[in-house]
Amino acid sequence: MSASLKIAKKNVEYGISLGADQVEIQILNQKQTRLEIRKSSLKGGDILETGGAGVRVYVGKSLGLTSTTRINELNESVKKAYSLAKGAPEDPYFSSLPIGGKYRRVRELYDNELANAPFEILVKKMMEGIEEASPNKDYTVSSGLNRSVTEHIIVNSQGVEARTKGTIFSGSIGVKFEKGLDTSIGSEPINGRSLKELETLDAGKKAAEKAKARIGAKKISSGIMDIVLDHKSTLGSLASLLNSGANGLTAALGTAFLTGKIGEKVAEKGITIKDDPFVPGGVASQSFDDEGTPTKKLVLIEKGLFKNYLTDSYSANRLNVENNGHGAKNSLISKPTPTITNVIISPGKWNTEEIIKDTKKGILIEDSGLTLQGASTNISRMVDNGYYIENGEIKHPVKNTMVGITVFDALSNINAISKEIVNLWGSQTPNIRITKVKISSGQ
Amino acid sequence: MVDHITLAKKVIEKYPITKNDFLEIRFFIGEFTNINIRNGAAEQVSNEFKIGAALRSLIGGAWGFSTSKNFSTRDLSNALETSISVAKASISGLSEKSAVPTNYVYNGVAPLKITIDPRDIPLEDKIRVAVDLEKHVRHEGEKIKVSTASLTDIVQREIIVNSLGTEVDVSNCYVRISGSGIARDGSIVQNVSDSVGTSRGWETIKEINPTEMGTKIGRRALNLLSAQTPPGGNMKVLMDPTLVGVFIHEAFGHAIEADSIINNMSVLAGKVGHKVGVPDITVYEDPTIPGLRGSYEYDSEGTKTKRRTIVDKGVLKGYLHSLETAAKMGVEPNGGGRAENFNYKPIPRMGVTYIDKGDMSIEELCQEINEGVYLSKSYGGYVNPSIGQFFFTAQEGRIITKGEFGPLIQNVSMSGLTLEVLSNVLGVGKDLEMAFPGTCGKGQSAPVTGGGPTLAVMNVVVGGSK
Repeated sequence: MSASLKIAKKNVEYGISLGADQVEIQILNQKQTRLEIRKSSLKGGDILETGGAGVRVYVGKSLGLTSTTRINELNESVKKAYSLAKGAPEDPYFSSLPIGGKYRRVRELYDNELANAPFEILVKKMMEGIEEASPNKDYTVSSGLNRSVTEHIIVNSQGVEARTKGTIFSGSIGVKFEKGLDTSIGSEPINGRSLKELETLDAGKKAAEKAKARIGAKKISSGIMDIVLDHKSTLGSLASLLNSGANGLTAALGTAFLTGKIGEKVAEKGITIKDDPFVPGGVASQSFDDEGTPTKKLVLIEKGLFKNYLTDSYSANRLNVENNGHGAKNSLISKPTPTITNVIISPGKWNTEEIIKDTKKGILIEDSGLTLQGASTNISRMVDNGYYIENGEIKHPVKNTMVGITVFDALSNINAISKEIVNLWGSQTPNIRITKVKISSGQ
Repeated sequence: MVDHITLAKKVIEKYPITKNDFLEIRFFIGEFTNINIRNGAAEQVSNEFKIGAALRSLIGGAWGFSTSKNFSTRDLSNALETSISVAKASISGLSEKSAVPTNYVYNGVAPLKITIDPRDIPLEDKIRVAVDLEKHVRHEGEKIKVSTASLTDIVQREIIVNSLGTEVDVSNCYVRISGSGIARDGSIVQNVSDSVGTSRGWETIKEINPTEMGTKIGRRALNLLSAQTPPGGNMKVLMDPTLVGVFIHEAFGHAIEADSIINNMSVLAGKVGHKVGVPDITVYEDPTIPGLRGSYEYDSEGTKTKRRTIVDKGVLKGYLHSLETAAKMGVEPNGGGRAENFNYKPIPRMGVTYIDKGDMSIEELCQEINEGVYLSKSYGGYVNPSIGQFFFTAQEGRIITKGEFGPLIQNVSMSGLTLEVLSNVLGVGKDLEMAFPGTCGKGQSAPVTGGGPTLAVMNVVVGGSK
C-alpha cells in the first residue's frame, strides 16, 4: 500500500472518530517539470512538487471543506473541516458520498519513459518543433511544456478506496508572423500521455503555416452567414456546449439549456455525440472520477435526441438518476461538478472540401469554439482565427469579427458534417457547418 | 518563531554565485476562507492553507525554479539545488540570456493595514452575511432559478530574500463578497452578478448592506428576462465605469505588460512615445492607492511599487515591469512582478488600472453617441496581445436613440482592436470610479481593480444575435 493511501485511510478514520458522519480524503502527489521558450530561446525550467490533500467532512447534511499543501499535517485539516461542518448550514439535497464499485482498467494512462525522461530530453524534443516553427526572422516563436507525474488517491468512509497513477504532458507552440506592420498568429497544442507521443515537428510546422496564412486579416460587412468549424473548433464548441447543457448539477438547478429535454430533439438528426472515458491514452480518460465513482461511458446525443445528463453523486441524487461518475474537482478545496471526458462525435457524409465549396457566404473558424457565457442561452463570441468564405472559396482572414446565435439554433442549424474524423487526444471529431448565424464585424 | 529572513540568507549563502547570477527565496504563507451559499443551502464552507517556499535561480542567463513545502534548512537547500541544477541544464539551450538589474535592492516591511482581521470574525457571522445576501437575490421572484452569495477572505504573507540583498516582508489581506442570480423564463436565461472586493479587512463587509445588494441583483436578473435581444454590428457604445475597468484592463493593459514586450508578443512593443489614443485619454496603473482589491506595496520580487503613467494625453509612456523585463529594457523596475503563490514565478501583472476622468456629463456623452448602445456591468473578457484583439462581456445595457436612453437589452459581448480603440474615444466622463474588483488570469490569478469614468467609444463590434 502506498504511504499516501495509508495516510488517507488513517485520516478518514480520524474524522469519523471526531464525530463526523461521512469523510472523504483526496490526495494528489504531483511532480511537475515545466520549461519555457521565448523568442525561440529556452529561458529555463521548473522542477517542483505540487498537490496536497483535500478533505470533505459531513456532519448530518452540513459540509466542511479544507485543503492543505502539507500532507503530514492532514489531521489538522480534518479537525478544521469537522469544525466547519458543525457550523455550516445544511444542504437538504445531500444524501451520501458515493460507495465506490469496481473500477475498469484504462490502458496507457501511465508511461514510465515519460515519467523518467530527463529535463534535457524534454528540451531537445521541444526545440525540434521550435526550429520547424521559425524558418526565418519574420517568425517569433513562444512555447511551453508541462510534464506531470501524478499519484491520485481518494478514500471515503462509505467504502471508496481508489488509487491511480498517471503521466501527462501539455503545452503548445505559438508563432507570431510579421509582414511589414501587419502581424498574425498561429498555435498548435501538444498533449499526450507517453514520451513517444511527444513529437513536435508537425506541431511547429503547422503553427508556422497557420500564422503565415492568417496575415492580412480584414474586417468584413456584418450580416447573416454560415460558419464552418474546423476539427478543433467543432470539438471545442460541442464539448463546451454539452458540458453546460447536459450538466446534471445545473439541470437540477433548472438553468442548463437542456433541462427537462431528455428524449427530445435538440440537434440536427445527423448529430450523435458520446462521452467515452475509457479511450486508451486519452488525456481525459479515467477509471474513476474525483469522488472515486467508477466512470461510465455515455450517449449524450443520439441522432439529434438528447439522451443523458453528466452526473456526480450529488446531481444524480437531485435528479433521481444514475451517478455516471463524471464528477471533477477544479482544485483540492472544490466540491465536484459534472464534467465531460473524451468526446466522440460521429461522422457525416460530406467531404470537408465540399463543405467549403458549398458555402456561398460564411466564416471558416479555426482553433477556437462557440461557448456560452455563464448560463445564458445566447452565444456571443469573438472569432479568434477565421477566414471569410465567398462563393465556395476562402478569400481572406478576418479580424474584429463576432458570432451571435442562440445555442438552440446553433445545434439545430448544423447542416453539414464531414466524413473525415480527426482524433484529438482521445476525442474524435469531424468538421461541421452551421447556417444562419449573425456575423458582426468592424467594416 | 522562525526568522524567515535569517533562514533564507543562510541557505542562499551556501551557494556561491558569480556577479551576474541571482538567487531568491520567497516564502508564502496563506490562509483562505470561503463561504458559498447557493439556493438557500451551503455549497461550500472551506478553509485552505497554502504554505511553501519558491526558490528561483538565474545562472549563466538561464532561469531555474523549484519549491519546498517545508521550511527546514535541509528542505530549502535541496529545493535551491534543484532550482540551480535545472538552470544549469538550460544554459546550453539559450540563444538569449536573461538578467536582473543588480543596482536595485529593496528592504522593507509592509504589515497588514486593516482595521478588523477577518480571521477574528466567527464563522457563523460570516455565514450569516452570505445567507442574507443570497436570500435576497432568491426572494425577488420565482424565476430566479439560481441565487448565490460568496464571501472570501484571504490573508497572505510573502517574505522575499535575494542574493542582491533585498529583504522584504509583505502581508496582504483580500476580502470579497459577491452575489449572482440566474433568471430563467422558458428558453431565455440571463446572468447577473455584482461584487465588492478590497485589500482591507472585515470592515469591507461592515460597510455594505447585503440585503440591498441581493435585492438589486435579483431585480436586475428578472428585468433582463423581458429585455430586448441585443443588436449586433459595428456601433457606438457608451460604457459604465465597471465595464470601462474591464475594457482598459483587457483592451490595453495586457499589451503593456513588459514580458509580452520583450518577447515580441505585444502590438504595443516599440510604441513608447507614440500616439495611441485621443488627447483626452490618460491611463494610470497605480497599486499604491490604498485599500483597493488590486493594491499592494511590494510585489512578489520585493520591488516597491509606484504609480505608473501608461498613457499621458494619448501618448504611450511605459510598461509594467518585473526585474527581468526592467533589466532587458534598461529601465528601473516598477513593482509589477506578481505571483499567485509559491507554485508560480513572478511575472508582470496589472494591479489598479484606470482611465483618468474627463469633463463630460452622462447626458452629454449620451448625446455624443446619439445612436448606439449603453452597456454596463462587466462579465469578464480576454485579449490576445500579439495581434491586439480583445473581447469582453456586459451583463446588460440600453439602446440609445436620438441621444437618449431607450429599452433595456440582455447580456452581450463586444470585441475591438487595441491599436484603434483609444483613438476611437468620443468622450470621457467626469464620474471616475474604481468600479471593477476582479481576478485576472494569465496562467496564474491576481487580484486586480479596473476603473475609469463613463466612456463613449465608436467602432466597437457588438456581438448580438439580432
